[in-house]
Amino acid sequence: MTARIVARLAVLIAVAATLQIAEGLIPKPLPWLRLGLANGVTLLVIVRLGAGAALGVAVARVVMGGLVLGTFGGPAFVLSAAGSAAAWLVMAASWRRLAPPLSLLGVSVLGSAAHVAGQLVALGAVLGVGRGVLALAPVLAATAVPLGLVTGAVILAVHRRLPPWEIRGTLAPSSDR
Amino acid sequence: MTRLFTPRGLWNEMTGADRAASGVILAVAGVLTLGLRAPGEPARAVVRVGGDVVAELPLDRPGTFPVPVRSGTVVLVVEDGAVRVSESSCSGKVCIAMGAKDRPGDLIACVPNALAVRLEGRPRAGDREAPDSIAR
Repeated sequence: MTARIVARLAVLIAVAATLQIAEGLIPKPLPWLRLGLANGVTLLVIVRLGAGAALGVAVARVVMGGLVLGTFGGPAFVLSAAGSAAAWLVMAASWRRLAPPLSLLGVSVLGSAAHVAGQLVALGAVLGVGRGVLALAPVLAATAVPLGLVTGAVILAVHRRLPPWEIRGTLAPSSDR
Repeated sequence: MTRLFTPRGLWNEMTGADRAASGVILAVAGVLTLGLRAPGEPARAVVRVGGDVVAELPLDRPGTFPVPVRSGTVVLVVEDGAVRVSESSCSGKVCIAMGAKDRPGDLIACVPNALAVRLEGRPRAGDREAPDSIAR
């Protein structure tokens, strides 16, 4: 792993953690809504550096966010970790297997929905209500689509404007999709 | 590039598969909305903290119920056959924003406090009588 890659991953982790913390602090009409830009960074890294690097960035970001927000180890942290892990898994798999025909936008929508699903499973376990969490599923699933699209559009714009990242070593270069 | 951030531009940018995937998720949301409508009237609010049932509040008995949680206290209010969170010692106040719930299966969650309030139907015959105060 070259110094360039180390520096790049460090910056990505910092950006992702900052976005995660900022999104929690911005006043919103519905407090549980998240645009999901931190997960967007996961998608950007999947596209540009591969799934392995994206997992590393996501784990570091979730831990940093938990430490800064004081939720580390608590129920909110479990939800954050479960949602981020599910989003990474689904986005990495769908970017590899389903894109094309999916574009980055569709992968973002799937990641957004996976984030909701992962959070709901964790919520059912943490709160002891099991399938009772499905009461929250319709509104969360419905909002996942527009929020995933907006996040995807932001990441697509960033991806197109950034110069290609010259990667040597173990991390594979991205295609120009 | 800037057109990406208009609805039409975004739509044009999506592939057919993107649109199909989005549609499937919205359809799932719709099916869940229709499929989750439990019949009957909710009779009680089952309050859990950390997964353990700490109280069952009959919805036909109005009152204010403080529930001890890890960060302090969550105050539940039962009135007009519905339950809501009126005060909470959590940071996000999502639980308060979720508003009053009055249908079976409805759920209020306060994640930082690991508190859940779920509306359930009337106990079937043979069930023991639900306690009407904090059981702990």
